[in-house]
Amino acid sequence: MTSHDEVDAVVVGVGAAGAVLVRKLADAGWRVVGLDAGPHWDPQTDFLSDERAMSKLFWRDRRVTGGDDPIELAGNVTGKGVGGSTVHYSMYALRLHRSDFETRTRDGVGSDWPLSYEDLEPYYDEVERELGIAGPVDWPWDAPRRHRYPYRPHQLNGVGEVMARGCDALGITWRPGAIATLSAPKGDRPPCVYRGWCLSGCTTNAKSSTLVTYAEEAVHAGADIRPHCMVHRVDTDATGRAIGVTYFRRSADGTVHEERQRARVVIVSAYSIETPRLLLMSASSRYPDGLANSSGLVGKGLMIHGSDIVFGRFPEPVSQFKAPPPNTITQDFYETDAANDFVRGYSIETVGPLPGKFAQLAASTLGLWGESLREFMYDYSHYAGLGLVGETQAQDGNGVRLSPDETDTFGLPIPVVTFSYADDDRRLLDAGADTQRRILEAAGAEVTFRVSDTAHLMGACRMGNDPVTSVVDRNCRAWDVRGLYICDGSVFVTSGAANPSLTIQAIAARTADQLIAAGRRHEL
Amino acid sequence: MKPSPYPGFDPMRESEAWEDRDRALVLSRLHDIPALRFFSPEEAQLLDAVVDRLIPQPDRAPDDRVVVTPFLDQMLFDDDTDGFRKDGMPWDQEVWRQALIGIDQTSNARYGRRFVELDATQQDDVLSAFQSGEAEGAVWRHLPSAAVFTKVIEQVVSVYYAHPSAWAEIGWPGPASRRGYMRTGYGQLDPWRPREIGSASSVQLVEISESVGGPSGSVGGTH
Ligand SMILES: Cc1cc2nc3c(=O)[nH]c(=O)nc-3n(C[C@H](O)[C@H](O)[C@H](O)COP(=O)(O)OP(=O)(O)OC[C@H]3O[C@@H](n4cnc5c(N)ncnc54)[C@H](O)[C@@H]3O)c2cc1C
Ligand code: SF4
Repeated sequence: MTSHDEVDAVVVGVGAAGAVLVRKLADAGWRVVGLDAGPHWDPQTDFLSDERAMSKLFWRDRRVTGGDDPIELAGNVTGKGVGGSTVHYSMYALRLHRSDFETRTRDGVGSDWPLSYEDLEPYYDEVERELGIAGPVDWPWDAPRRHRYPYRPHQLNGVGEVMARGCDALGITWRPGAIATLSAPKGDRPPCVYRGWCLSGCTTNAKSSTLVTYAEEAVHAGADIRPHCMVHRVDTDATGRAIGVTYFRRSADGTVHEERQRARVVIVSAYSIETPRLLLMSASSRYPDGLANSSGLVGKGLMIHGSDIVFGRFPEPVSQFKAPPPNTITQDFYETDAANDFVRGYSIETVGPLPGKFAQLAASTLGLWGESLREFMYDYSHYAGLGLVGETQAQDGNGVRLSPDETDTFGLPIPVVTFSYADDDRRLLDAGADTQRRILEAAGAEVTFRVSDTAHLMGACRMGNDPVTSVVDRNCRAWDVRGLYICDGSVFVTSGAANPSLTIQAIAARTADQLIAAGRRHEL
Repeated sequence: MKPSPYPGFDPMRESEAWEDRDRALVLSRLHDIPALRFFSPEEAQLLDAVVDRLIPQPDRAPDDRVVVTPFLDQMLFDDDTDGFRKDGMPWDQEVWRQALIGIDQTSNARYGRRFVELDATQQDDVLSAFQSGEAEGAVWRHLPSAAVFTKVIEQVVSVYYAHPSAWAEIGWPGPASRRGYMRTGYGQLDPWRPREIGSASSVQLVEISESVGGPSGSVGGTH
């Protein structure tokens, strides 16, 4: 087995969080290795404008999905490769609200975070600047902004105009969304050309995935990013301290070798399914229930966003495929409202699936096939879709465990994901769908239909102030294992009702600063 | 069937403006039909008959029809699948094999003949039973036919709507051009966009029960 010399930090997974960590630590002079299970793509040669061909961006290793409401996995929830899920994500770049960090105190549900909005605010500012987020001049919802968005908002597209019209008619506030694609040049990167291929990977580099931002800068800063490296164990020494990782590296000729990377600090950033899977696979005689799992909460409390879509057909072409699908948003329904029969709330956002996806959604939801499906699809350009980002509550029964009997191509136990909605989640989803439909109808929709869908993963290794009820502390440090950090979407305590990536990146930026400061104090 | 509202539109006419690698991919999809490696000839023949009813193409000469089966075969042989399975369901390769066996079982139970020997109305009856979860046959006692149907139709439409002939009939310009779009607002068309004639489709929209399962992750998410 090849054993690499010890470095300061090894980061497992170079996605939304991992790329931020790798770059910031490398900038601070740390020797950093980033390991990612997938490829290191070049968008200008590897990416195609084709829905089917670009499924190569998705995490499609073997997984099982169960529960009362099994989550659709693959491209719907996770990417694979440097940049992680941000390579094919939809680019809404939103902050959580202040209330999200204290839902237990305010609403009696979930748990309070060990961080406040104020703790993250400077990091939201930092990440928005680094990514070049394009957003509206004012943000009428929580939290009040100290700084304007660095880039001007994008023009409304057809779906955005429909949404704006419907919202105006109903007295609902709307804004152009805060979006992670450039509206003006930034460094070498040109602005968006409105081709609408964002969810298949962007070929122009306008999209601020971490592949073309943080990860690229990390390489310039001297970080060693190694693709095709599937980490399967976090190694610990006799004292129980994390000392590095062991991984399978796939060479260009397809052969696989096992390698080891020693590091003073191990950071796991593999997201809400693979992070708990890796910790559980790292069980040893010292840690029989898996690493960092004395609370029993590794793999528990997985959350999603209820993301049902309502589509409406309009008399004139909407051309939902033009411009980035993320375009316009309302957060008027985000906070708890005593008039509702549920607590917490939702955002409503424009979507714009390409024909293959739209046909799948229609076929599975409307049961269409045969000539009626083809005829229905003639109207593809006339549909506008509004998607929900509905908060769900963490439940211990929802989560990730290892399959007792099935393995992947490396011989590693595959993850089994379980998800069921709580009754309150469903009431929230129904209320959201009602609002989505009212907006479309107020805008003049001729017919509407609702697609049930989920988006985003949050939680499964939550942070907290108490080692009994959380896996990591507020600085993403594992309570049980010295030298081990967990920093990605899995540390979320509540789901919020905003797409999670900007918060994941803000937490990563903060964690990097904490690590750098601890390093200076010789406290790692 | 009702004709397309975009008569004469052909996205390939704009393909000179596409990236070379996008054009090469689409051309290979038109001209290099993969050989069968996963399905047996009998299975492929049955699947062709099923696809013919799920996506009928009476408006096209046989040589102009969009072929679907070879691309499903390629996906399954190369294991170019979603990679996950629902609890209680087998992996995709097994789902497809079982589905084909099940369709013939239902066909035999209802008409005493194999699916390929039925007329179109009978075939649609078998597929309706398959879709609604009321299909007869040993296979459907351990596999939920409605959920399997959803998987089948989702993969079939994914292949069909990856073809320029399908893009043409829905007025979608495909990879679009390097130039992107200039007019993105409601009701606005760029100069190279097709003109549309005729009314909206009259297909009735009825949402079916959620229990059939949401859309698959195979062509990504939405937001
Ligand atoms: C279709 C889609 C649309 C989305 N739209 C939005 C949006 O509009 N706005 C938003 O905020 N969020 C959106 N998201 C969610 C967002 O992309 C994720 O929440 C975010 O990327 C998660 O960050 P992460 O760092 O935790 O994980 P990821 O970004 O997924 O990165 C994890 C990385 O770890 C690697 N990895 C996993 N296991 C291992 C291992 N064992 N060894 C080595 N490497 C490993 C993976 O290959 C991957 O690169 C969307 C997601 C999807 C799928
Ligand atoms: S619309 Fe913009 S962000 Fe999306 S793929 Fe095109 S250039 Fe990239």
